[in-house]
Amino acid sequence: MSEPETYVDPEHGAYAPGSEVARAGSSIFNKLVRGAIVFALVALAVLASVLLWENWRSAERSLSATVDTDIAGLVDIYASGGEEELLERLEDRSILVSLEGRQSRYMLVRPGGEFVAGNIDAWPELGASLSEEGFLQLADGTPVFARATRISPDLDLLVARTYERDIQAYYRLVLTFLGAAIAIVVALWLIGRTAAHRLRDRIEVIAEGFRAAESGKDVSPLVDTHDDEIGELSELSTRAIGRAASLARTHRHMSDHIAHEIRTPLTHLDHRLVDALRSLPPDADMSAIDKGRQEIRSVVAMLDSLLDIAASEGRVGDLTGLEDVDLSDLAADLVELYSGSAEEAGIALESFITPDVHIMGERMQLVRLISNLLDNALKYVPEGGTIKLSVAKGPVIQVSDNGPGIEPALRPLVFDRFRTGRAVKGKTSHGLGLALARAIALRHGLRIGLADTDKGARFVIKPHAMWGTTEAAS
Amino acid sequence: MKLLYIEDNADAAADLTSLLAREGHQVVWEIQGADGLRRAALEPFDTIILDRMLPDMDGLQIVERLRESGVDAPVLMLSALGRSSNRVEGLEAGVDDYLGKPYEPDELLARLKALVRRAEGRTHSAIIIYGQFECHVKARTAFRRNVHIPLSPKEFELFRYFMENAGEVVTRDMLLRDVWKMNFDPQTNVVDVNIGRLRRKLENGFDRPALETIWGSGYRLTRGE
Repeated sequence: MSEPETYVDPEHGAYAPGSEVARAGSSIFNKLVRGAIVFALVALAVLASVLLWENWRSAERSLSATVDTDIAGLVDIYASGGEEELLERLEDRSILVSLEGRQSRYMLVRPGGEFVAGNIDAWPELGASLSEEGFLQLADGTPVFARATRISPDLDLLVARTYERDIQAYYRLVLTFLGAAIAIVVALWLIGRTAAHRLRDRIEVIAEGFRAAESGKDVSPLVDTHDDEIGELSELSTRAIGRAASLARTHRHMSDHIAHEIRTPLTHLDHRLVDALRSLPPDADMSAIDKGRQEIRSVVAMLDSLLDIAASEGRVGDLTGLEDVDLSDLAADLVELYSGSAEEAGIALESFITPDVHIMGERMQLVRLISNLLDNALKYVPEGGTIKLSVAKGPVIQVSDNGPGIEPALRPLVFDRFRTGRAVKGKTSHGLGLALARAIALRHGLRIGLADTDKGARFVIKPHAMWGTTEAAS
Repeated sequence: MKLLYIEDNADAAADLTSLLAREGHQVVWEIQGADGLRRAALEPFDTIILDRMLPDMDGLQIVERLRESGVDAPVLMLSALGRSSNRVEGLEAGVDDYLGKPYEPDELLARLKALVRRAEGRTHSAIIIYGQFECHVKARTAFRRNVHIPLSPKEFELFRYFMENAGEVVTRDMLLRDVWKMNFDPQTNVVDVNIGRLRRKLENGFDRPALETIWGSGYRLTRGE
C-alpha cells in the first residue's frame, strides 16, 4: 500500500479536542517549595559534614598533643630521676583527670613484656620501637587515644587518654545540626506553602478565566491589581480573552446577519414565484419557474455551506458542544442509508467498520463529514464501481473508490472552497463539500488528506499526530 | 387550527398568514416578542410559529419564557438562520420543530399538522391501523390486509412514521430528521431510494399503491384500498 500523500492544512496546529489542560497535581509552586527544601537539606548536610569532620580532627589533634606532652614530661623525669622517680610520678598522674574530662592511663613494661607499673592491664597493638599512636580499645573495654614509646632499651611506656567527653561533645554537635535541619525544613515548608498558595491563587484566577472562555461561559474581568508580573499577566489575559470573546461574538452576529439578510429577500422572491405558479393554468409550462426556485435553494445551500465552513474553522479547539460519539454506529447507519442509492446506481458500497470507535465530537457534523465524502464518491464513481468506507481505531476514517480519481494538478487544491472536480452530467456542485469536510475534521482535531492509489480516490481522516512528518511536509 | 405567529417582517407575515388562511387556519400575528409572549399567556393556541431574530428578543429566549410560564402549545421556529447548527440550537432550546427560510409552503403545512398530531398524543398506540395497513409498534411488525410484510429495522421505522402521520404529507426533511436523525439534506437521493424500497415491499402483490409522491414536497401513505 502506498504512503498517504501530503495534504494537510498548515494554518492549523495540532489540537486534540477533549484534552484537559489543567494539571492540579503538578503545581509549579509545590515543586518550588519541594526544591527549596531539598536544596536547604543538601546545603546543611554538606556544611554539617565539613564541620563535624573538622571538629573530630581537632579533638584528635588535641588528644595527640596532650599524650605527646605527657610522654615528653615523663621522659625528662626518667632522664633526671631514673626509674624510681618515674614510677612515683606515674602513680601520681594516674589519678589525674584533665579539664576536658580526659582520664590518664599508663603502662610501663620491659621489652620482653614484663609488667613494671601503670593502670593498664594488657599492652595493646602499638609498637613502642616505632612510637605508634592511635585510637584503640583497652582490654577492659575503655576507648582511648594512646601512644607507645621506648624511653630506654629496657623500658617501654604507653600513655593513653580517655575521650568520652569528646564523643559526647561530637554527638551534641550532630544533634544541633539535626535540630537546625528540622527547623529549617519546617520554616521553609510553612513560608513556602503560604507564598505558594498566594501565588497559586493569583494564577488560578487567570487560569479560571481561560477555562471559562474555553467552555464558552461568560468571563468576568480578572481582578488582580498587584503591580507586579502576575498583575500584568492578569491584565493582558483579561484583554486577550475579551478580544477573543468579542471576535467570536462578532463572527457569530455577522454570520447570523448575513444569513438573515440574504435568506429573507430570497424567501420573498420564492413566495412570489409560488404565487406565479398558482396563477398559471394547471397545464401551463412551469419549468422555468421551478428552475428559478431550485436556483434560490442552491444559493441558500451555498451560503449555508460557506457559513458552516467558517463556523467550523472558527471553532477549532473549542470544546463546547462536544460529546462522546460512537463513530462505528454512525458509520454503520450511513452505510445503511446510502446502500440503496449505491445499489440503484450499480455501485458496490462496502464497509469495514471496527466496533466501538469513539470520538469526542458533534454527532451531526461527523455525519455530515462522512456523508459529504460518500456523496462525492457516488457523484463520480461510474456504474460497476466500488466505494469502500472504513472506520478503525485512532480514529481513522477512509472513503475510497475505484472511480476516475482526481487529476494530479487538482489534488493539492481539492479541499479548497469552490474547487470542483470533473463536470458530471445532471449534477451541479459549488465545490464546498470537501472544504466543509476539511473544516469539520479540523474542528474535531482530525486532518483530512488524499492518499495515493493506483485507481480512484482515497480520502483519509485521522488525528494530526497520526500523520507522518513526510506526509505533513507540504 | 388557531395559530400564533410572532414575526417582525410584514412581508413574511403576510405571505404566511395568507397561506394558512387558504388552508382554513386562523392566524394571530404579533410583531414584538414581548407582545407575542403576552398573547400566548392570554389565549390558547394550537401551535405557535416563531421567528428567531426579533427586534426585542431572541426567539430562543421566547421559547424558554413560554415554557416557564406553562404554555405547552407546540412551537415551530421559522427562521432565516436555517443551518444545521442553528436547528440543533433551536431543538436544544425546546423548540418542537425548526424550519429554515426559504421554506416550501407544503413543507410548512405538513410540519404544522405533524406537530399538532404529536401534541394530541395520537402517536402512542400499540397498534396503528390505517386503511389496509397495520403497524404493531411493540412487535415491530407490518401488515397489509392481514398479510405480514417483512421489513428491515429501518424500513419498519419509516413505515411506522408514515402510519403515525397517516393520510398526511410527510416531507423528505421530516423523514431525514425523525427517522435518520439528520438535520441536513445529503446531496444523494438517499430518502427517495429508501422510500422506493419500502414502497416496493408495501405494494408487492397488491394492485393499489401504498405510497403516493406529492410533487415537490414529499410522500403520503394511502389507505391502500
